[in-house]
Amino acid sequence: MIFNKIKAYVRLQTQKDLTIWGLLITTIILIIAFSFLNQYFFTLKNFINILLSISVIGIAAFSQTFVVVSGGIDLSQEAVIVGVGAIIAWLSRGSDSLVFTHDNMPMSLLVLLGLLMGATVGFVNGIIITKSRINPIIATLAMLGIVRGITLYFTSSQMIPIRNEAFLYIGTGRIFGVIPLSVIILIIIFLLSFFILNSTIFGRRIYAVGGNNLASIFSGIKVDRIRIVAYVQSGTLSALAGIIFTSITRWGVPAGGQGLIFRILTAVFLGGVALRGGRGNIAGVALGVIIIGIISNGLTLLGMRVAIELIIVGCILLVAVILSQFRRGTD
Amino acid sequence: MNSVNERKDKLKKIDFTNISLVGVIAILMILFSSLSPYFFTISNLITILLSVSIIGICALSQSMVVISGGIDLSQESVIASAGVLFALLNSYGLPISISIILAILSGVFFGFINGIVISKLKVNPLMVTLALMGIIRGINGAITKDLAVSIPREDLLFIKKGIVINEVQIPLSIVVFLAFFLIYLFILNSTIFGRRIYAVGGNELASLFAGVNVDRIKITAYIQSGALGAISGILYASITGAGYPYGTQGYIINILAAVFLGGISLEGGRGKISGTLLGVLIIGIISNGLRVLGVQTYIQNIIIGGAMLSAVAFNEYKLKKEL
Repeated sequence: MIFNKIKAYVRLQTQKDLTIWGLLITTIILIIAFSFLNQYFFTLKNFINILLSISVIGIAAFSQTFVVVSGGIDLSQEAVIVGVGAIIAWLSRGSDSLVFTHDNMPMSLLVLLGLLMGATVGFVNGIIITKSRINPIIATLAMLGIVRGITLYFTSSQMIPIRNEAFLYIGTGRIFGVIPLSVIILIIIFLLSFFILNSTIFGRRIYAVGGNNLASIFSGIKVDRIRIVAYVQSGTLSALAGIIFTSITRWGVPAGGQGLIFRILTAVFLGGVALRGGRGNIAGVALGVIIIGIISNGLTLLGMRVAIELIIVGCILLVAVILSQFRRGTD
Repeated sequence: MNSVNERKDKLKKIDFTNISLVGVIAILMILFSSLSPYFFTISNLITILLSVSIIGICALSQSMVVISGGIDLSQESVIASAGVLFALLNSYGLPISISIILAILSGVFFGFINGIVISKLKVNPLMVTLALMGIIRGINGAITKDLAVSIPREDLLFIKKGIVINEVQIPLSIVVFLAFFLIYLFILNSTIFGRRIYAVGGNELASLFAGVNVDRIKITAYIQSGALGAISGILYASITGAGYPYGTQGYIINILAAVFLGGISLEGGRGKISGTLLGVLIIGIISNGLRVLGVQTYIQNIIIGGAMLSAVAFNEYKLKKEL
C-alpha cells in the first residue's frame, strides 16, 4: 500500500513538474528556432526589448492568475491598461507648467490616481460578479466596453504624446544603465505574487474558492470578499501595467491595445492555470508570459504583421484551453 | 375564493417580459422624439430598421445558441470576415452570387469549428469562441493586409434596391431580417429541432438520456450562428460599401445586449425569440437616438454595456424569484 502511495505521489509531482518542464523545453526550442531564423534575435538589445514587452503582459497575467484561480476571469484588463495609461497621459500633458519644482511630485500622485482608478474598476467588477451572480465573462466584457467608452470620453479620442520625464522614466529608465525599471517592477510583482499565492493564507483561500466554492463557504471562508479582492488587485495591477505600457510606447492611445487580452489569457492558460479555477501556479504563468513574449518579438523581427501574430496567439489559446480540459481529467 | 386564486394564477402565467419591453420601446421613442425633431422622420425610422437588421440577424442566431446553453463570442469577427471575403472575391472578378455563397460558407466553417471543439472536446464555449474571435480577426487582417476592401457601387445595386412592393422600396437587409425572424419564430416554437434546442439548454444530461443527439444539436447551433453572422456581414459590407477587417470590434456587446434584453437567459433553456426582436429594437433605437442627438459613439458603448449588465442581472433576479 505504501508503494502505491509513493507511486501516486511521484505521478502527481511529475504531472505538476511536467507542465513546467514542458514550458521550459518549449521556451528553449523557441529561442533556438528564432535565433536561427533571424540574426538580431539573440542580441542583448533584443532580449531587453522582449523583457520590456513582457513587463506589461506579465504584470497583467500575474494578476489575472489570481482571478482565474479563484474561479473567475477578467476580460476588462485590456481596457484598464489602455484607459488608465491614456487618462494619466492626458492628465500629465500639462505637467511641465505645474508649480511643483521637482517633476516627480505630480507624477507619483498621478500614478497613485491611476492605480486608484484601476482598483475602482476592479471593485465594480467584483461587486457585480459576486452580488448579482452574473457570469464573469459577461460582466467583465461589458466593463471592457464601458471603460473604453469612459477613456474615449475623457481623452476626447485624442492620442497624447508623453513628454513628462518622470513618466517616461517608469518605462524606459534603466537601473545600472542596463536593466529597465519596468523589468525590476515586473520581477518584484512576480516575487510578490509567487509568495502571496503559495505561502499566505489568502493565497490558500484563492485556491479554495476556485477549487470548490461550496466547500469554501462551509469552511467559513468569506468567498465574496476573496473574489472581490482578486478583482480589485487585477484592476490595480492592470492600471500599473497600463502606466508602464504608455510609458514604453511614449503615446497615450485611448483606442489602442486591441488584442492585449488574448496574449494575457494565452500566457495564463499556457502556464497551466485551469479555467474552472483551483489549479495553476505563478511559475508556469511566468514561463507562459516569456513564451508569448518570445513569439511576439520573434514574429515581429521576421516581419510578420500583427494579424499573423493574432492568429498564432489565438490558436495557442485554443490549444491551451483544450489541453487544460484533458489535464482536468487526470485528477 | 377559488376564482380569486384562479385569477392570481392566470396573472402569474402571463409573461410580463415582452409587455414591459414594448413599454420601454414606447418610452424611448417618446423620449428621443421630444429631444430631437429629426428622430421621428420616415428616413430616420428606416435608418433605425436598417441598423437593426444587421444586429438583428446576428441576435436571432445568437439567441438560438444561448438558448441551447452556449454562447458565440466570435460572431463579431465572422461578420467582418464574411464582409471582407465577399469584398475580396468580388474584387477578383467572381460573380456576386458565388462571392456571397463562399462568404456564407466561411461562416459555416468557423461555426463548425466552434461546434466541434465545444461539443466533442468539451471545452467551455466562452473560451473557445473567445479564442476564435481572435483567430478570425487575425485572419481578416492577414488576408486584407489590414486594409479595407471596397466594393464598387455597381455590384451592390441589387442590395440597395431591395424588394419593391407597391412602389415602396424596402431595403434588402430589412426584408432578410424580417424573413429570418419569422423563420426562427417557427423553428424555435413549432419544430422538433427547436424543442431540442430548448431541451439541451435546459438540462443537457436529461436530454442525452432522452435520446437527443446533444452534440449534433450544439454543432448545428454554432453552424447557424456562423452562417447568419456571415449573412449579416455581407449585408453590412454592402451597406457600408467595403469590407473592413477590424470594423466590428466590440460589436458582440451590442448583439449580446439585444439578446439579454430580450429576456434570454445565459443559462439556456428559456427565453422567447419575440423578446429578441424587441431587444434588438431597443438597442437600435438607443444607438440611433443617441447618434441623432449628436452623442459620440463611445458614450453609446457605455450605455449599451450598462444596459446589457442590467438586463443580465434582471434575468438572474427573475430566475431566483421563480426558484
